[in-house]
Amino acid sequence: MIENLATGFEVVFTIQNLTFILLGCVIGTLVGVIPGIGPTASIAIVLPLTFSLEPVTGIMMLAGIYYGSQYGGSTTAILLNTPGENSSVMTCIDGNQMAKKGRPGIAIAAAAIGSFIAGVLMVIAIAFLSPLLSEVAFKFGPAEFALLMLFGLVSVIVFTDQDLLKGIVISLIGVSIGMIGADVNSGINRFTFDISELIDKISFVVVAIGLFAVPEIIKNLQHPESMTRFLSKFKIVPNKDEFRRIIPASLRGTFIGGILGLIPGGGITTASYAAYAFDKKMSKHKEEFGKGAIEGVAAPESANNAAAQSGFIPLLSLGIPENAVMALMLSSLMIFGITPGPLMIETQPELFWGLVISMLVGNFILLILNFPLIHIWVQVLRVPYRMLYPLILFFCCIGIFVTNTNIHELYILAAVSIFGYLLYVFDLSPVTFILGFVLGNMFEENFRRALSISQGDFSIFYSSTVSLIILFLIFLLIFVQFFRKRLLS
Amino acid sequence: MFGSFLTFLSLDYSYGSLENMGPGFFPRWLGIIIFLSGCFLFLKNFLVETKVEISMREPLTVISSMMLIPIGYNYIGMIVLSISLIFLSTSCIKNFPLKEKFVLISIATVTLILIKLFFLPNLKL
Repeated sequence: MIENLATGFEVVFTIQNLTFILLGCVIGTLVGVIPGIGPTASIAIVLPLTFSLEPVTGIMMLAGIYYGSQYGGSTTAILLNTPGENSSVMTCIDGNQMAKKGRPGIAIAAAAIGSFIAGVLMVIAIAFLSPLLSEVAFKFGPAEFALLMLFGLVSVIVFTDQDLLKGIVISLIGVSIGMIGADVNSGINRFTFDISELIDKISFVVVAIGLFAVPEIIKNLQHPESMTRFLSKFKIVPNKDEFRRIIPASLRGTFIGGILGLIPGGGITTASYAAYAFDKKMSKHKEEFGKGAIEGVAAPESANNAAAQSGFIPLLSLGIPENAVMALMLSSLMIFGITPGPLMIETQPELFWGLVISMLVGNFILLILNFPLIHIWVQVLRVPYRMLYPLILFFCCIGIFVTNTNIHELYILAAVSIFGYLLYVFDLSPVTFILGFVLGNMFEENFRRALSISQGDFSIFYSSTVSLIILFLIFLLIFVQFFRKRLLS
Repeated sequence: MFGSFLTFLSLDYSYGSLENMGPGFFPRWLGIIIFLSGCFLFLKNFLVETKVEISMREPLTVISSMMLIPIGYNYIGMIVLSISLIFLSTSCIKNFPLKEKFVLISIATVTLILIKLFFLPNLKL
């Protein structure tokens, strides 16, 4: 373990890597602070620019954007009562109340300290759990991997709170679109209609930008928000009593976020809701919740950062992305020629341990960026959205063109953007589509391989203990979703 | 519709067998499942009245401003196309200050020049 950590420190502490970790954290905080720009869209836009970097450097920067956005999202939640990210919704409740009572700085400090505690503890968890999980994963065969991917798809459908059947249909459409291009096993081009641009499969970056970035712009143009603003200077250092309340709430939030973050689709937003509700029950100051309780800020913020980072555990150890951002990370690793999974920790130790240590360094950087330097981010909030969205659109188009110098991909981007907008209009989740798009090919490959090994016998999918456990979890999820809907109706 | 289309297209590829699946096996069954699910959803929601409001202005403006670049790239340089993108995309907002448009155009132009210098020397400005 010590040798591995030393490898990680050696990888991280170079001028180039430290610069890009800092850049990722700054971009992430900026993305989190500005409402209307999410980490998924931002990572999709920045992704093409990382192709000229070393894989380790690129991934560190992208990871920095992701967990950095969790830190930044609390700033607008507290100051403007508008969550910078979905995961900061709960922070609005007590954070904005604290701001109205003249304590915005203390609220921001609680969010920053909570996120920092969660970040550091989750880095330790990743360092211990990922290698353990990858040891278990060596017992997985193609059948187990196929079932695991199916579990990932089903849990995302269940947890994104849409009609189960609609979610299944959208996810299967995503799987179908992912099949366009050369078939992995036979090499035959499927559904390309003799269009050469489709032979190499539709670019994941195009799909991610078309589903997330562009519809977000359209949505924000249709529904501009009006905000009350707390943009003057304020005190930021909590006193002893406030620290005594922040620390236990942060530890509880970290635990809840860390567990929920491991479940595909369970995610960051669910973790922040659960942490808030749990802390409300456990707190000695229950009556303050909803009126400016400091625990009401620390708990959900630590939970969302913990969930964001624990999502790396299934990605790095099993190669399973549990949300759209992890799917982006998976795709970027594959573009770099690295296949995340049980073998990655052994074959690419500098990447794995470098990423783990970069998260530790990143959390320290973010504490400084979001605590003493918070007044700089407050100034960013003065930039109106109308100045940002044309640039975002410009960077989306140029980013895609620069990646493959293929201008025709912009036609595909336009088509995917229309589809993404329709998903938003009909209240369907693009996350299920994109996970179907990413996991579909992997599922098909493992499914075909498993049946080839068993010579067409389906019992391979329920003959081992691991596959039975995964099947049980899949049916449990479907049952819970069905039962929950019956109860609500 | 999508499901039946997918199933129809997959008929062009070999089906194979369970132990040796061809490229058409998986998409065919996928298409059938999507088709059946779609039929069920259609029947389930047939009598349910829903109103979906789609405002066309913003999506049309944003998508068409993106389409300017692939349509015009072979004829005009990227700077003119980016300027057109900014002007068209900002038409969504009434009374968008001209000064701010020029700031955006400057940022876009500088970015394109940097891309040509450091990443893509063949970029047509």
